[in-house]
Amino acid sequence: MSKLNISNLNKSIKGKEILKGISLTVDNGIYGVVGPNGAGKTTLFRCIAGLLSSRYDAITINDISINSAEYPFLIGYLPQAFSAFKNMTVYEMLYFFGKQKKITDSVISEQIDSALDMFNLKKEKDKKVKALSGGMLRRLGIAQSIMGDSKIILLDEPTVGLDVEERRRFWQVIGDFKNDRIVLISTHIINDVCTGCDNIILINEGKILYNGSVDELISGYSDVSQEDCMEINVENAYLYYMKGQA
Amino acid sequence: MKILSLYELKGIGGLKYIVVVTLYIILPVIIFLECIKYGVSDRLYMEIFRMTNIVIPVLSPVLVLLILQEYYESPGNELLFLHTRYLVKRVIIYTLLYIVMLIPIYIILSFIYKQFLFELVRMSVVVIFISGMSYLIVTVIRKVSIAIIIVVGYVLYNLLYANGISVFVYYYEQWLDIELWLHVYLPMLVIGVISYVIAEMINNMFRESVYN
Repeated sequence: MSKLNISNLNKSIKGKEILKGISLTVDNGIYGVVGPNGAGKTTLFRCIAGLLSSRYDAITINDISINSAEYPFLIGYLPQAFSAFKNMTVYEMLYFFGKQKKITDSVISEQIDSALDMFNLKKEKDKKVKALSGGMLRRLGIAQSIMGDSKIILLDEPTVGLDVEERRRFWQVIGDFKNDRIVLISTHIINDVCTGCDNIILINEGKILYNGSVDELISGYSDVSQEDCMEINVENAYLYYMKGQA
Repeated sequence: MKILSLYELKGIGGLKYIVVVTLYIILPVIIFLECIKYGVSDRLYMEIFRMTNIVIPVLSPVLVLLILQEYYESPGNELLFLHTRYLVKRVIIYTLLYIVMLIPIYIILSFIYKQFLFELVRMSVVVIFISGMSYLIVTVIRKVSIAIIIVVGYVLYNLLYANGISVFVYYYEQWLDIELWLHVYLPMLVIGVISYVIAEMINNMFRESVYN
């Protein structure tokens, strides 16, 4: 069982307070992190990934501090957009990130093949990254994030650019991780949350407004009882929470 | 690290071949033509000396800058920093790689003029200096294109305007004596190494502002 613990995390960038006393404890499962633009989702992800400086003891994974040398190897991360080293092939790119994660030679090929298979990239294995479409590039990004022995997978808007079929495949693959990893997915798409997340974290203006199951979110919002569509229910509850904050 | 560097080199694309093609094709062809034109003479020595003093310093930061461009300017570059804390390792590896690439050229030239063995040592110092300065410039300005312009400007300044012995001037046509080594190239080497250290410190202190 993996456990992420964040206690009273504050983060300012260029004098602007982005995260305000975030406290959060989550264990294995899939969490949709939802909030309006500028709510602090990406900053929160970057803090968890150890990419932004924060109080050394504010974030731990399985009691391993963010300041520990082994901490980065517990993280799988997909940024909002990614396109570096575009002249590598898809296979080389995965190998590159696998090596960065210190995956051993004995298993790296197996892991790459598995990731390629999961995200339907086998045919593109020898294609250069610069020749990939936006959706393929996104799948490649997700594939690298799940490689290795990461306990937490942080996916910043992973389904943007994916077609319906690929989106389904994504949720199917991610669903397999819910029992042994923590998957945090930042999204604007409420339908995504309904499709694949058991839990939802609502964030606005650097504060967490709600952290709990999707079902509880809906039941906590009384006006939605007559609605049949889950997506609309979640959307209504989301807006209710956001307005409540305002 | 070596494997990662190989993959990075592959990942930066065709521009890296500018270095290889210039050093191993264009430069030797020009030297060969000048050999035919001037024969083995003082004139030929000066022509080769001038040419290598333009081409080699200008090309010296190319590999480093192309790699740094990926780390500083590519979308979603924060992913590259997830497991990479110290960019200076890469900068040193690519600088050394460039120096290694120079060795066969200078060994061949030394068959004609022995002085070129000393030139290799001198040019290695210049390469380390320019590479360190380039890393520092990119770390401060965050724009690889500006660093390239500054390096080209620095080389032109050396050849066209520089007068008198100065730490920041590498181009001297006179024989490399101990005075030049102590007053110019040793300090240049030290400044180059210090540039690596300062650039790395800045890079770590202000890492957050690098993410695109």
